[in-house]
Amino acid sequence: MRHLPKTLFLVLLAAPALAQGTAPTINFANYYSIGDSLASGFVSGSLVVTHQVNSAPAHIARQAGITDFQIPSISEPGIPIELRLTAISPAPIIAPKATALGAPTNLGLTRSYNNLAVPGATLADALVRIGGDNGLHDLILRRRGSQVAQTVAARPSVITVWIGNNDVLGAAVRGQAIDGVTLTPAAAFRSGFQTLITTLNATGARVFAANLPDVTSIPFVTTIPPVVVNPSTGQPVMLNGSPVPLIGPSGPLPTGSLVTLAASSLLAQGVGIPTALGGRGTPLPDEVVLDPTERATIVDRVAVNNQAIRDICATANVPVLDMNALLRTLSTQGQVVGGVTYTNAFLTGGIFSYDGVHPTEMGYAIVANEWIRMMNANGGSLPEVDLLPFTGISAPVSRSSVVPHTAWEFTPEAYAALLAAFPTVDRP
Amino acid sequence: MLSASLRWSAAAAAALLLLAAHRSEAAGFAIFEQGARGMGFAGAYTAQAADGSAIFHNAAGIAFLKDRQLYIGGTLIRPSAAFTGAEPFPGPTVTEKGDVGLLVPPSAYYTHPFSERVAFGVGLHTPFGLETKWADPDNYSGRFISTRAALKGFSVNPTIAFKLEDRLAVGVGLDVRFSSLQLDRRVPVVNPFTQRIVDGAAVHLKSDTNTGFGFNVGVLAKPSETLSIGASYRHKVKVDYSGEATFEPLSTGNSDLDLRVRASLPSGALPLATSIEFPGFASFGFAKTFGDWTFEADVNWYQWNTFESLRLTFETDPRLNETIEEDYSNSFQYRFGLERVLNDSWAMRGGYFFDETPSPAASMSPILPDSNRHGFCLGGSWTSGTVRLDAAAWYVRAAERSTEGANRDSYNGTYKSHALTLGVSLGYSF
Repeated sequence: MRHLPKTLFLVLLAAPALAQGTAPTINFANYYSIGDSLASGFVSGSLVVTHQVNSAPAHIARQAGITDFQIPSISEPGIPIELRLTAISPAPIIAPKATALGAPTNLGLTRSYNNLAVPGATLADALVRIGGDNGLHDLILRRRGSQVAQTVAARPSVITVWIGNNDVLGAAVRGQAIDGVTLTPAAAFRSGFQTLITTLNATGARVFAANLPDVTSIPFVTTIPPVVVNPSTGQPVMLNGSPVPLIGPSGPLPTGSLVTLAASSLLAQGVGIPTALGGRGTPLPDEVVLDPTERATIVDRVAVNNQAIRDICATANVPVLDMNALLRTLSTQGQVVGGVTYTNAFLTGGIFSYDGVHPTEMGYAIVANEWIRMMNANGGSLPEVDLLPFTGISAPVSRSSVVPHTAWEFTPEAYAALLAAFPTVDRP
Repeated sequence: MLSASLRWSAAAAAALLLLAAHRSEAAGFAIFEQGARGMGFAGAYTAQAADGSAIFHNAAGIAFLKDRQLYIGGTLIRPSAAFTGAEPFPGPTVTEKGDVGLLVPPSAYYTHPFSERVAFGVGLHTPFGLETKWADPDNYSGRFISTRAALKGFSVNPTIAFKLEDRLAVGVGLDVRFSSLQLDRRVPVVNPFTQRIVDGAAVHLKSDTNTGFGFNVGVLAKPSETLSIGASYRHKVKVDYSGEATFEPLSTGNSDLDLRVRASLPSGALPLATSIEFPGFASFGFAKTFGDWTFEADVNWYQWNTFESLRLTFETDPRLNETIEEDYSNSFQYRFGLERVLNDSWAMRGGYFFDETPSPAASMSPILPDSNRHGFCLGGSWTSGTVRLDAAAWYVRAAERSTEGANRDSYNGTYKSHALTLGVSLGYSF
């Protein structure tokens, strides 16, 4: 009994340390990823193994030492066929790099893939969809259950979830912000996300979530200015000291409008350009333009959905990675790595791939390190991803010990068919 | 301390010595090798200042010098530096080396007593200098930050000193600081065909040799035959630089891209302006003689907070303006030296110094990766009549130091360096 007071004293000393102390370590024995194209490693309009192995979840798994992180790998040139840049002069031309699709190479796996993220998936898809799209849902989920159902059944120890981008992205890509059509209604998003987090937390796994970037900051909508540009200089054509707005569905595009990359082939044909400046004088269709109201609707919806994510995750004690801030940094000041500033500029920023929506491998590696930093702040101890292999910067050393990495391969073989995804863009 | 190289050349008319010393001898880009006798005391020489190098160490010292004296010499410096990367960039498999060269900062002093109480002197020395140069600039992983940074210069330092009493003197000097600056690096370009970085151009920033003015003061007291106490202060000096930047296009491997890169680069030389405020510094020391032995201990204080940033201003193209943050803090150095006189001709010395880095971890960059330094010093003298020859060697070890993931250009890792220096000075009284 003489020791009791001392024991109590030690307990009292220890209690505050436990209360405010570090989070328990993270057990990476069984890691699953839920998400959409951004978690799948989708690059340049394509899901292809070359890039799937460098998705953010694949990086996290590699840094955690997981050797059996299974992915729904698809052979070159991917599904859809990966886009490439075929020329920059006189104008950049982006086209599929082949004519025949790649094929799934891991369909025989007798368990669920660790990376269950399906390109195109919305929040509702992640919760309930099991396939039936005759596309990537079928290839990745294989009718074994929804992303969430398969994850729960796998009894994971760690889950990352980055879903909801397609609940707003459709509005930006399709140039139309229509609630219930291109935008998931806010109430439905909140209740779906609540279900998602409640379900995942109930597995006992450590759950890490990410919020939604502002999809009006992606090059798909920021590259083409809403004014007539002189193709030889890349500068706006000035008339009486002012730039000349492109013609939209309701007349000259108001200031603050966004024009999507999908408008590029139309602009090349003179659509949207006044006859006085050599255009056809016909309007750009609504699908390639976001007017200021649509733009504000999308930005507002991203903010509302992020508030839902923040609220729900805070209550559930789930850390949230601020992807919104990451993209905002890239858009405003860029991100510096080794003295090189990476930005959200199309083709020249280094972060966004040829579809203008999805990151490059460098972009995904930076995203992976954001996840890792968040995990490390919550009990993890993963080394960050070595970015050098993704920069192209050589260093005067033997690099044999670096994780093997498949570089881009842009063979000069002439693939004749230039499918019409984003045929031309007015400026690099 | 990467590679520092020091060069000097004498222009016949102006007799200007241009030199860049490397930064391994004192933290930041301060240099303390100003005479081989003082070097033998590890630079603890403020309280003795017993030769022409007093013009650097303590202006009051020349009041005690007999006859006219010439004290000239130089220091050979062989620096060595290495860098090991850290995640996420450039990664732990990357190692880099300084491009080691041999550096030779000179020093020259002339002193002339006008009377029992008044002495005049003039010195040429290098209180600050830097050259950091990395091997294999085409492949160096930090080449978009810097491949070579050089701060060359010297001070011309006319000095006058007065004996107030037989054992007390004061001195004052005018510090005319000549300086030039050079920065080389690569310009990165995203190759749109590969979405990877390629070298679009090499940029060379080069200033003219510009001038700044300051002053220095010192006091030296000899309370007894065996004790001396000295203090000195050298004021900060601001140098405004004018110069130019040239962009040399490099082949990216794609001719269309080359055309675009060339079109986007400024053509010709762009006027460039910047400035550096060199820190002031103060020294305090005492020396005590016991028979054949003399001991000196000094403390130096450097006002490094003057080095907040390097602002590069391109008057004709403000988009290129850039501020390199440095954010230095004031720092101290501690120096201890011991001499034993063996006979009428020979003396031996040894010492140690600790030199505290003024640089925050975030400012450890390919331009100037700084850390605490330890110096181990040996020296000796031979005298014969009116001639004396001093020699000293320093081994300077810079503590291995990590950027702690905080580097401002996100170029992180651990720097490690050391330097071997050999100083020789020849004195002549007449």
